Amino acid sequence: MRFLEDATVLRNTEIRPGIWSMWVEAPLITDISRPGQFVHIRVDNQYLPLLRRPLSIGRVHETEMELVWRVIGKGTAHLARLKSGETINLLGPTGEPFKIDKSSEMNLLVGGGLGLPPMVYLFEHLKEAGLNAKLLLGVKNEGAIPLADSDTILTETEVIAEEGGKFRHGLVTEPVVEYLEQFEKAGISEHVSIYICGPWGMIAAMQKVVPEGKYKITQVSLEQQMGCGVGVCQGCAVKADGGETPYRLVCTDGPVFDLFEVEAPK
Amino acid sequence: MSTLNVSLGSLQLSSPIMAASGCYGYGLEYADVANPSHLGGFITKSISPERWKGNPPPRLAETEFGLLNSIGLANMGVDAFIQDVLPRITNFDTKVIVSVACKVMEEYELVVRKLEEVEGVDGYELNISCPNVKEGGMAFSQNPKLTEELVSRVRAISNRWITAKLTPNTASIKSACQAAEQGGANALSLINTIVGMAVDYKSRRPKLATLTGGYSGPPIKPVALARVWEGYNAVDIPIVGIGGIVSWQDVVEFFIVGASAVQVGSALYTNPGLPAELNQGLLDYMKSERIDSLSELTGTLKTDQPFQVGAPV
Repeated sequence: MRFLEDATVLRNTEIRPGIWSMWVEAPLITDISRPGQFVHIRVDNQYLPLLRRPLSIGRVHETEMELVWRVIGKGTAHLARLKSGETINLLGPTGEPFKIDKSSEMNLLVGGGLGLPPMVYLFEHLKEAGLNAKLLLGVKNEGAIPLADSDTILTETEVIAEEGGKFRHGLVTEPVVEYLEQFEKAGISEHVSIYICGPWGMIAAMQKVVPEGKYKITQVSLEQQMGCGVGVCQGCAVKADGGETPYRLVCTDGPVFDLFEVEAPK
Repeated sequence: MSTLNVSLGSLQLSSPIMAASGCYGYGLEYADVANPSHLGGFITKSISPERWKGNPPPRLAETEFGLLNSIGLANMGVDAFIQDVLPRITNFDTKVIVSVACKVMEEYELVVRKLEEVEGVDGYELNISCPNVKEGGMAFSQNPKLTEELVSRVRAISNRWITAKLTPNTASIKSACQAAEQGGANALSLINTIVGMAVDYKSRRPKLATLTGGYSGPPIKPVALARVWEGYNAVDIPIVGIGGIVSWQDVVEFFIVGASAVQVGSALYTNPGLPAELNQGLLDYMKSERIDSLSELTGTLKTDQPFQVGAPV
């Protein structure tokens, strides 16, 4: 089930230079959305740019939904100009959500840069369900954190910055390896679920440090240039196992895939 | 009394708006957000003899105002289409035109023979103009002899309505139009996408894995209008205009240069509700202009010049 919904913009804020967070009122979509799904956004009514823009659903609080993006072109710049009270047409919720297993003793959520918002949605969803979860975020530097300084969720996020600063210095895979060792010592590895959303470099690194077949769930959410968002145009194919051909569609087969099914582009 | 009904020879449509192949899937994907009955008909994703995996990613590159694609005709194949899809779309209140794309003529015959055995197919669009496959594809449409032979071989095994979708990637479309008419096509679909490239200036890499792709969207409308006018002056069978339509005014322009119906394509990705909007816009326009049938507009371009490219200096 999907809707075409005219959502009302509630707040639209530049939370870091070039990074925006918009909260919209979307009662139809938020009623049925699940962490990992996305919405396909009609940027304006003039077909300029031509295509919709897919964005992961960030936090969902009752009928309100958060969308987070970095301004990189005309479409994302247009989204940044939207004011409270204006409406925006959303197609969604689209795509397969993350699998959640309530018997998981620990859920390790790893976001890379702009891959964080769906992780935050999942994190809050798991916490509400009374499940254990850790939220890790890898960024280049403080300016790339897709959360406002005042955001309480930031205090629950373990931030690892490539350039250090006031955060732990290094790559997000380093604390991941430490956690996996802890889980191993505690003898709970097979009851751990791991979720990932970030750039291909991070996904490839996670494929190296996470042993295949050891954990309950190992899922990754992918991003790809997208046309229709509903499986019509076949444009958002990625190389992935598990389908009838070597390719699978991010919009309808994904965006969530098993970590070990997907192959980074060369 | 204004009506949106149009006729494409033996095929009657309740609206001049059809959905272009590749832009409406197999008819099911958009059904939860847009009512298919707003379409006079839709053309399925092109069907081949067996499942085709399509081209490697990246398959899409959005350009300034348009879209380059190199999907490579990824599709489920004719058997899966007949078994899994067709029974679910035959109750739609719209005409179902099956697009067929193959590598060689024998395969076109094979696919059509299989479809001839089942109900629920209102016609065929022979895709002989895909720019994204190495074999078959637009090579057929660029060669009038092959176009005529292919259309006549399919005509020989089917009494259903047949349209040939032709490529604009030729110096002139006239001979291909006449070849398809000669072969027995009931209509022509003009145009398929235009060969194009997109380049990332930073990495100096092509944005599509296959280097070139097919260009679509609002920027190709002038190319399509010229090809429809050229085709209209070359044949007597009706023409379905395709290329960059986003408004009812665009539809009227296509009729003026010779179209008897149109297909909307890339704009559906952005606005699945576009067919309903176009129908309403056209009806309002027809009422205010006292036009009963859109066929009154077909080929009414006010010019005393024949189709030409360039002018005497």
